[in-house]
Amino acid sequence: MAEVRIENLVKVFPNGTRAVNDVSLAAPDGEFLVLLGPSGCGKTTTLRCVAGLERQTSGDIYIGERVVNDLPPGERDIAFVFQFYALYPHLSAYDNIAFPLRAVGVAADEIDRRVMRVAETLRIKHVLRKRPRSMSSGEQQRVALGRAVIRRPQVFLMDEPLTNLDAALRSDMRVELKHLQRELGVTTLYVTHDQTEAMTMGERIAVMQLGDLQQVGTPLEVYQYPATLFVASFIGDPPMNLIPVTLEGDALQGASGHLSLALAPDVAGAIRQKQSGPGLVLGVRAEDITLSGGDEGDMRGEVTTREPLGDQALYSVGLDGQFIQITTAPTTRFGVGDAISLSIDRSRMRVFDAATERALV
Amino acid sequence: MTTQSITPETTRPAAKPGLRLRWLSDRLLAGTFLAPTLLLLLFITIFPLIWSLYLSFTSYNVNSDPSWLEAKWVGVDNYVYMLTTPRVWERFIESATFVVPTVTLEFLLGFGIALLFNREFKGRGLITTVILIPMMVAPLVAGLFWRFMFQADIGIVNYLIHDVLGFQPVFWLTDRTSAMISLIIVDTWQWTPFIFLISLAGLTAVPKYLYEAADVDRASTWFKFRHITLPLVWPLLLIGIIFRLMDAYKLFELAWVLTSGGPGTRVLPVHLYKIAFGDFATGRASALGYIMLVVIIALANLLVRAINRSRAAEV
Repeated sequence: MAEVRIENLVKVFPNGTRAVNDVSLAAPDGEFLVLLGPSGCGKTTTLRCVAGLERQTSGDIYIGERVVNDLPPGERDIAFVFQFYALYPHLSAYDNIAFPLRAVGVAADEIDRRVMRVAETLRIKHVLRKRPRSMSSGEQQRVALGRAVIRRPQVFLMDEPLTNLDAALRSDMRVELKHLQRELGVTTLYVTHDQTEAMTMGERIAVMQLGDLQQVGTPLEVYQYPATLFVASFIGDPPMNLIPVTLEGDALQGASGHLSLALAPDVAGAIRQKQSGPGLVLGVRAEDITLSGGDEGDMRGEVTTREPLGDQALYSVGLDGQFIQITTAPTTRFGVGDAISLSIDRSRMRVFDAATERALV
Repeated sequence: MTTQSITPETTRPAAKPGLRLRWLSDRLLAGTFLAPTLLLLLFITIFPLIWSLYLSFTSYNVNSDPSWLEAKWVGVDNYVYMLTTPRVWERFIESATFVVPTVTLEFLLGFGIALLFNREFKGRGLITTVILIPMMVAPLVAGLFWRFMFQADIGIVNYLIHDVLGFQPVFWLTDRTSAMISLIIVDTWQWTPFIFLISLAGLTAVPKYLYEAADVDRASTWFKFRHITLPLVWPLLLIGIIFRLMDAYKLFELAWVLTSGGPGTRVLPVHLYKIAFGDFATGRASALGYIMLVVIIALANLLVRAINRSRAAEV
């Protein structure tokens, strides 16, 4: 097993697309690190560079203590699970799983023993004689995993391996995959665009956008303390409420006077010191706002919609042409059109610089 | 339920009764449209096929017999004659001497070049088109200009061999062995592009990610070729080989134009032509034609089975 370290990785494709822009990232030995981002954010390219399927334009990649920049994929001691599984269509499941061992000339009885053991773990003994075409996507998925784990590589690289499964199977496989990885203790880089997968599986999440690494942190850190406006809007459902504000005195002021949020002097000072211009963005999660009927809150608005979700209720409140979303206990009973006031939990809010899009406090 | 079934019928426009000919069913209409083509096909392929089959059991001679109706029925005599005449066996062997090396050479060259072309490089499209040109030339025309090039005293080939390189000139089209070699060269020149095209189609159809997966799996270049490329391209290659086998087996124009079926190049179709239109032994010629047909059907069948086996293995 080994640590994976990426230093100042840049990948520019021949057509000029800058897919990965100065990304530095490290996954300690045995960690399950998720690369998360919308399509085209450079996460897959990063993964392919680590695998050696793409040659980076600049930067270094380490697996363990070795610089692997110039090593072909076969010499990096990795296993790669492709989005569409990339099973060999003319080979049976057995032969697919055995392929990495056959390719390096492992003895037949040894291959047989290992294939059987892997098939047992992944519960695919019954499909070993089938070809990929006659297997379900879930079975293909397991065979692809089998081919990856049979070699006991130093690193697993997985490119959206669950994307092609239906929803029920996907949530099962999430648990199973996570369990398998923990059992084998192999460092894993896992690419996905699905934040649920990232939140549930990743020990840490690296959020990428347009080739830039936005933030690396545990799922809770990324959720609660997004480092950039992009992370704030990408993670969480509903996403973080982002409200344009300015700092006046020691208080954040909304555009039309409906929002006035007094800050502690040291917090306001910190913002003043760090901000690059007057524009700020207040970020607050839907569950960190409380509603009341009175006049004493930080914001005033009118209830636009109310969606009872069973375990909670989701309110939308109109404020200066945008909608603020609030989740509350299902027992709150404000109706559409009611004038209400909103109070923000100051310990759980974020303030971003509108120009740099980075979090200030 | 009832309300649901009423709705679509009321919205559909009512059929105008007088316009529809009750006796003209869709089937009959389709048959009417197909009939001219079917009749033509029947006339120019099926009829000759059956007629020549009949003739192959008679002693009919198109030159001397007044009418084929009076031709004498001789049973399987023509077949016995053809299968027991040593000369015919020599022709079979001569045909094999042409077909086997030619198709082998075309396969090796065509597949080999396709392997070289199975990657991106500058001018790939242009060079591919240029490579395909020989295939577009009419065999007769190709034969004609190769005959000029192979001319012993004025041809460019001997000019290069003798005047430029200083070797003995070769009597390309008149010597037994070199005449066959000329034939093989010209056919290979013309039809290697065909195998090349089929191979390239097969090779480009192999998804790139399979090779990436194999790279990660530490497979060597040879291992990838042996265990991924070849098994996936093989069915298509077999189809190409069948086409070339059948085509080379019935090669006529090239041999006719190059040597007029001279020594060493009297392949079966040329021989057949000489029996049919030299000796005018129509009955015997028909018999030989049928023997050739059976042989090629058997051969093609073997290969089709091989294809089906490799296809079945994929399911």
